[in-house]
Amino acid sequence: MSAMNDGTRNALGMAIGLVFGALLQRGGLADSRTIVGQLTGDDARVAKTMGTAVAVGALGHRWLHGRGLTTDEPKPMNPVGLVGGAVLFGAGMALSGYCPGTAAAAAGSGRREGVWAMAGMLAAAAAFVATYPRLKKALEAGTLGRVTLVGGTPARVAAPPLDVVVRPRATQP
Amino acid sequence: MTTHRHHSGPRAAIDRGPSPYLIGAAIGLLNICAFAAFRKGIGVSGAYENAAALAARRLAPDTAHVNDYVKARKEPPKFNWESWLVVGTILGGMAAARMLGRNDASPVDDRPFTEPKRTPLASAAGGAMLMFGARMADGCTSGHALSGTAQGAGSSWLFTPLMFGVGSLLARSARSRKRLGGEV
Repeated sequence: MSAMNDGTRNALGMAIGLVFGALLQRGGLADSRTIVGQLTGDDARVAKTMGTAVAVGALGHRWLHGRGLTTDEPKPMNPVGLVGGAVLFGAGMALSGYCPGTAAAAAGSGRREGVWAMAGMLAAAAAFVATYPRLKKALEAGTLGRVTLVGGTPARVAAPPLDVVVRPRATQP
Repeated sequence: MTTHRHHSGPRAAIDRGPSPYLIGAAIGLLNICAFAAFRKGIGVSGAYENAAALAARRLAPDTAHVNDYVKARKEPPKFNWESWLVVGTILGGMAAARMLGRNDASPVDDRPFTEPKRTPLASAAGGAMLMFGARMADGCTSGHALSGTAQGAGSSWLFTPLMFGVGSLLARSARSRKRLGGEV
């Protein structure tokens, strides 16, 4: 799989995106009110959708990982970047009712607010590009490196608790 | 365009679309495909940064300090599979809306004091804030909250609850302010 050429990777990325965008739109997540409704506690669809997606994804990831078909790629534990970023992200999500993926699905589905949100996102991405060389040091201050919750460092992660559940069932047939 | 739905009688009659658990399971399976194919989960915000860097390199390489940026990132920006994933997300949203109809069936629609449609300024400013935050944290609702948490990444389990917590606090306080104002 890793020997895929760029054309195949791009086509597969596009295919995954197509399904992803359609699922977001069908799940009502291309509507800013659904996301704000989750934040105010009026609508639990974001939590239900994401909770299920994470649970299914985690099981699949463990299964693939146990067979050497995927790797752990935890993003680095940079306290400053993560905490500062999460605060800005939460505030921006409450204000716009979107995040980068749902805004794209919303813009595609014909919602003007999704187009505006994407425009703001691209502008901010450009501002980040322009300031990153100066911000890098601060963002990475006190970094703990790539940390996973189960097993410490990615290299050692075998996730015993999940392996116990997954392996016997997989070896039976 | 679809405002008739907002006044279409009892709440039970509103089509809320497929089960969120079904949608979530399908997104999880999609992410497993990405884990297998790319050894990496679905991520969206990085593609915005790449697109911005590519545009900056072409339009204003000096004012945007693109050389310093590439040096700091240690790799040049690329239009890669993640960029195509975002293109696909836009087209997927478009196809679903065209073929299956717009999905306006939000249960919050028929409640009093719900959030109105955002103004363009709120959408753009909110989008800008969250994208800068996402790049500071090196991930967003997909890269951290969907894919990173599924791998048990410590960074993602710090980012995700904090981000939803902050958003929740702000959205709730905005609503209660509105409610106070609305009842006058």
